[in-house]
Amino acid sequence: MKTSASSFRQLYQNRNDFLKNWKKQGKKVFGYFCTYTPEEIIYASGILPFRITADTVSTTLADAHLPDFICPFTRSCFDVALRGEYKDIDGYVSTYTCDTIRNVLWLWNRYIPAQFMHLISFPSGTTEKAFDFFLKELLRLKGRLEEFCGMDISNQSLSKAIKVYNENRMLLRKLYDLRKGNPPLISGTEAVEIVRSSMVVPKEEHTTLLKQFMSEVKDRTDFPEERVRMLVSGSFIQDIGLLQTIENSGGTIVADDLCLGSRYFWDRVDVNSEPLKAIAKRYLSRVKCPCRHPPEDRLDYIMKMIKEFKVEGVIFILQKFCDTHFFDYPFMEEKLKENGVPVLFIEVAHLTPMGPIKTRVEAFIEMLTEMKT
Amino acid sequence: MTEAKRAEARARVLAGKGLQTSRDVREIVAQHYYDAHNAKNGGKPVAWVTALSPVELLYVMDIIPVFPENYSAACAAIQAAPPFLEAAESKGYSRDLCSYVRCNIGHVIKGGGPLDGLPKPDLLLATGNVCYTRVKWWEVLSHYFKCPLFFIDVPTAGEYSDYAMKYFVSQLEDFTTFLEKQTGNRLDEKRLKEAIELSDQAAMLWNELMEYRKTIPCPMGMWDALTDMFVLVTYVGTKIPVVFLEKIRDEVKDLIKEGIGVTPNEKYRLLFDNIPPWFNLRLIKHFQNLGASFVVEPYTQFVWSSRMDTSKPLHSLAVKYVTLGLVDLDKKYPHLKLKDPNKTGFDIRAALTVEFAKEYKVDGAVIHWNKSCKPMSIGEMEIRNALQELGIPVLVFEGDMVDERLYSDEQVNARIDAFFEMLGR
Repeated sequence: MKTSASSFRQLYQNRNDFLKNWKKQGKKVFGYFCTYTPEEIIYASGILPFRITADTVSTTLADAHLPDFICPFTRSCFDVALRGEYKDIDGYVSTYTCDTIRNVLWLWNRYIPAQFMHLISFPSGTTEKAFDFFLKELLRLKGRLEEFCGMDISNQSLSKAIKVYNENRMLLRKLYDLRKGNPPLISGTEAVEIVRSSMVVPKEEHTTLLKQFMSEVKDRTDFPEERVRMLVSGSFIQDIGLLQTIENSGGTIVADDLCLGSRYFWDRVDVNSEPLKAIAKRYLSRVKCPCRHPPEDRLDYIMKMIKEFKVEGVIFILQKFCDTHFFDYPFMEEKLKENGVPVLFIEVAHLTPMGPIKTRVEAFIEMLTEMKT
Repeated sequence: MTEAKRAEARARVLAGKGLQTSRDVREIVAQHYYDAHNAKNGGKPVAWVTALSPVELLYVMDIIPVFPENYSAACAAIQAAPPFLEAAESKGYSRDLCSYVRCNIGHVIKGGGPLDGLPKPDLLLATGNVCYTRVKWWEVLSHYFKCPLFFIDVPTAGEYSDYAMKYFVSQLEDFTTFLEKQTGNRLDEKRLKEAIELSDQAAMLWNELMEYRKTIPCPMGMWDALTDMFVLVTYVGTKIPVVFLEKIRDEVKDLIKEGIGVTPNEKYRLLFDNIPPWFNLRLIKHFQNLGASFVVEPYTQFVWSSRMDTSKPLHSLAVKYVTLGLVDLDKKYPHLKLKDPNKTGFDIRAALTVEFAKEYKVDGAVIHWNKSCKPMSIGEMEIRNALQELGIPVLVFEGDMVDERLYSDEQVNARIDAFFEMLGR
């Protein structure tokens, strides 16, 4: 195989060099914080949407600004930014999903000032009025972008953005389909690395590489062995080693409910209606993160994934201090267990040691294996 | 008031025990919970609502609101919270979650508690201002009670735009229609106007009181402000806050005339930021014993001075609960340009806190790094820096509003000692 998951890993790892090159070509880039950001509109204005992520070294600078009880991912993102690694970024767009992101964005505005900073309100419901309001919020963003770029964002360019994004989403769905079989053709770690890289490079570039990967992967001989089939649920996982640890402990991750995974790309934008309305509809009705109401919708989604991907056990990986995920957890655990789904709960901090996690996952998988036989 | 009673009241204030009238709040609190239980038993619908919901509208529709946030604070104040916190934790609710929520979920699971607990809800209403935590909390409640859950979204960006206000108003209309269906009552426009008028009167009184607190020595301390705020949180739109706050105003005016402050020998005037540790309001007394009054808290300054326009009842409610009083603060402090769209929530908070510090002539500030309130606590270092730039000494202590297990008396007291050394210099 010429293209492997490591090609995508490199895309992610070299993201900052990529940004520098991008800027050298005189092009603009906007950082976004959350998968609820309607990237298509940014893309349509000719600006590259680039997801702000963290890294896997200790935080230092951010600690002077933030209390202890802030989720380690956000803290690390802010730390990376304070170290000057995002100085090439021209602007930021975010949605008010959780309280931490909103408040840290305000800090960001003070310490990493950019030419453009925009926060989008997000309604909790999906009623017609909520939709109308959200559409106006998107129009406000579009208006500000037009002002910033000094040009109109036409329906045509929105439609093109939708097409580009949808194609990538469709390919990622096909990539996930490769995990339905027995054994799965790609590991969970590989899948997540591929999705993650799609957030930091232009979608067309990612699509080209992904197409190549897809055409070659069917002939691969080094696919993962058949093991206990797991689904992982959580938010962003900065340290991919965590997924590797799970997959080295006797499990294969065949599906996920992660904002770094399926939640990001699962839903496409309807191409048959007015572009901005279709975008609004997609982001309001997409697969829900715990920051959106109601949790029943996310439960349904997890149950659907369990059936489609023949999942045998669910591992929740929750970041310490991530309130919205922790609020949902007792409900999710109860409902999954009622449905006969075994559940393991892992809480992680920044730079969590893998040893104890490995022990717990091994015990869980041993239990699942015994249940099978 | 008889002369003897008046003398007794004065003796109380002079001893640093707060306003005589504030003591009436105890009865109002007891009455509030008693009435809610009675209403429930009499078949009236009870709603569990988030603080800073448009309660004016609920009273007009004859819905009895009760306030889980307030109840958690009340439990903490009499040291009744820890068993509830533990009950919630044993059901899988993380110790890192907001302690108002854990205390309340624990109460729901265990039952019991002071004031006979909260009567069971027929309706759940959460308003999306302040924080997202409350949306998650109310979802949990809806799983326990299986009763209707209603959210009112609050636009948190571009909140001054016409469409944001219209969206809020349209949700109030939907909510009213929903209540009309549930209760069979029609919205009485005349009663709504009256409620808005009463809400406006309460706002004017609150604003007047906050102005009086600028007097040296300060005639109304933080204990009074926190205690008296109860009537606004729970009863705004009824006569109760108006009648009560008029009494408070009369007492405060008398004290000003007589040159009496809430702290005997007021040496230092302090600002307090964040929600206080409700389980340890003795802290205020501790500061008073060292000669310091808390004369201003941003927590009591937002929202409650929001003026209302009786000709536009729903719009007034939108302005009040969406902008949380910023429209009025903007009128009061035009030079701060609070409505500038480039200003973030922190910029606004920092600018106002600095303004309060100047206006109330504070000598120092105390910041509570409250683990349970991320929206307030994330920006505290910004507030500290802004105050220090003015040359104001700042004490930051870590703790929590309800979870006393997160609070260390010894540590906090040691910091207070060091802080007073700084103030004395």
